[in-house]
Amino acid sequence: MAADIKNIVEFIAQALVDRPEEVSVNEVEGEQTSVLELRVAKDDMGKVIGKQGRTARAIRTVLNAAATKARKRVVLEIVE
Amino acid sequence: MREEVFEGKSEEEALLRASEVLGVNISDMQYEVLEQETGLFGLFRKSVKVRVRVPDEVQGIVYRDPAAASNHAAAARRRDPARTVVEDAGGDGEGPEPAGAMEGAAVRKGPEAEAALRGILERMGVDAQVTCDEDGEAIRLNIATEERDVVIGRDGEVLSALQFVLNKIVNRFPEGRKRIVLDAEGFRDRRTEELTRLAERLADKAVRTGQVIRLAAMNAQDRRVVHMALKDRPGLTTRSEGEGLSRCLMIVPAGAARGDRPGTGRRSGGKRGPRPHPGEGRGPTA
Repeated sequence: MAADIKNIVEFIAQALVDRPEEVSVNEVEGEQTSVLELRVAKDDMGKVIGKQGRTARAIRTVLNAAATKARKRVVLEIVE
Repeated sequence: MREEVFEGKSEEEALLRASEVLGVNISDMQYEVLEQETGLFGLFRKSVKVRVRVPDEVQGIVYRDPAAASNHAAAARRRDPARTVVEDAGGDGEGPEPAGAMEGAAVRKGPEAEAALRGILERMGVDAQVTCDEDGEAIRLNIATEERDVVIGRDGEVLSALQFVLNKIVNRFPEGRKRIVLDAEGFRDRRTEELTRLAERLADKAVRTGQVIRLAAMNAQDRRVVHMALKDRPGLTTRSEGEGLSRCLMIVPAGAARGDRPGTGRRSGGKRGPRPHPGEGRGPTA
């Protein structure tokens, strides 16, 4: 099975927030590294970041595991 | 048509109260949110008023299932995003339990947790079977897969991350919180065994040399295993020091200066990463 890394972020973020319809992920592909820009509703920022950034860190760990399997590098940015 | 106004700390709670008082399923009610007071910075609890209408043809059958209320309100919120309730100011989903509102009620969140885990694994491209076991306080999810490195990760960091995310997803609403316990391919038991063996070996060393041994930073679950492994051993105590990711467990032999000079001299390492490499640098592997 092929990993769909952009879709992982989307899926997790939508499950965490109050306004899933406002979740969007933009993938900026670089030569070796892809940057995933996650946008959520302003009020939902706290839900995807978490206390001391713990939720964001957990999402990054899951993404990196999938990326390693797919022999890619990804960086997750949560943008306002 | 009956009509009445109910109040609660959240939309869900107000609806549950309505359901209980009127003896009607939440799905059979029509309701609108009248008023919401969100507390300043979440310091003061918010209150939500809903006006509930029950059509005359509806028969009163109550299912005491807060999960249904929660899902129902969540679904309504999704249909009508303008009416979003700010659920938890801290965004961490760890608010206080609503007082006694759900006492004795059976909350089923397992299916949601299971679906979320399946959804994530599928998108990670992992071939896996997920099983779920739920009781009153916890949801135990187990992953069977050949891709252990992907799902478990170094020292279980991926497994812990998945568990953390699932906890946040399932406990979005404070009603009926349930702990998620995630395991894959027997990792938890194996990890506990390895940490216990390591703890015993290091405890021997601490007692023999009379010096404090500081283990590398570990997560709370792993530290707990070490504390438990050594709690009945005479001649030493264990305690933890530091905050967050760099919190370390120390094995303190009786009579040692209370941790002022860690025997292993590992303090010079500066900022350490989140991964546990307990003791002598031969950390247990996944």
